[in-house]
Amino acid sequence: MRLAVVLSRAADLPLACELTAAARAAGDDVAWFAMDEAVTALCELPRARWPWLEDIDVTLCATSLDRVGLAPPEWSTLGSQDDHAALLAWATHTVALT
Amino acid sequence: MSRRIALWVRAEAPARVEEAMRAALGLTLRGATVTVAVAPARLATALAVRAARTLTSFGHVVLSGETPEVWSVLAKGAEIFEIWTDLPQTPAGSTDGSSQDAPAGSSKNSPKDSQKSSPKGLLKGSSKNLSNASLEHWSNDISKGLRKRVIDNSEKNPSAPRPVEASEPSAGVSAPLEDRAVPAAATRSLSAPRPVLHLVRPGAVAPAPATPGHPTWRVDLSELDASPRPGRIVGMLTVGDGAPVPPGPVDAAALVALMRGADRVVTW
Repeated sequence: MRLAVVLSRAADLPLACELTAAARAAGDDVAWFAMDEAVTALCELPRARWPWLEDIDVTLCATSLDRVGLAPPEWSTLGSQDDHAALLAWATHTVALT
Repeated sequence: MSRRIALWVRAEAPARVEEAMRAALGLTLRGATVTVAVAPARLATALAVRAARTLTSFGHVVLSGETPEVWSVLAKGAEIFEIWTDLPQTPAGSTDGSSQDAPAGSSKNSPKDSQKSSPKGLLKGSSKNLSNASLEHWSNDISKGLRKRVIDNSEKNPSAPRPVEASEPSAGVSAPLEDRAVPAAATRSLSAPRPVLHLVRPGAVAPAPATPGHPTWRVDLSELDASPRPGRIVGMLTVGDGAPVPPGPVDAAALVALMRGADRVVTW
């Protein structure tokens, strides 16, 4: 399974993390696209709790990030809605936490 | 492979509606067919209106409505669903999700494994540059040219979800309703339909919709804090005929198993 996780709400971040950890443990590929409020939450995420973050593709919407004036975490990639589209084209399963 | 994506904008906050419409527009960049349902009153900003008009000018569908009938139109053949909601209210003095925790001291970052499966690289390189000027041009054209078709459709079936009317201040218009149901996904088997998995977030009002031809599984998600714990319960499987796990509490591993067995996942 190639799992796409689309995030736009900070409140959904714990579920996204749990799902990602479980999917990876089951051998699935996971990638994220985050926008809106979720980018702020991701910038503040304690990576020590989620060490696998640097092993998956996490793309942050540059427009959303620019609005809040935060720097992206090292383990993430800046992107655009085009990456959102690319992620959904890549995935076999999508969980949209929007 | 071209995806068929449905977005239902249930958010009311203008900023969230804008974000949803911006996402809808962006999702067309890799050739997906996009259908959006949004109440005209929610298209309250120029950006949202422009996005709706641009979508329709590209041949995508923008439906108007809040009723269960919207779901029946959206659900026809769409492979991917994005239900856009408002941000949950956060009690003063606290934050939600994992943002409660200050970032741990940043350890050295190791490069990602370049061999792993990833959407990166494989799918890059075909984005379109949509300038504000060209968007404005298209929206003006479409609001004039398709008005008649919108009105015709409303007369045929007044109770059905209708496209956002061009005469409304928040206009985005589209093709007649009968042409607008998302075609069945070519990759899905008709002989053995797999379930649609509905994930219902805490406090969400889910219409509990059925998808014609597909069994329904439903998981009512739990409120989760930011502390990961192996095996913690993330929700309750309340409808799961034929599911790979029994009804009752499910952890993340069980939820992944449900996803794997499902045809699509809809998060409310």
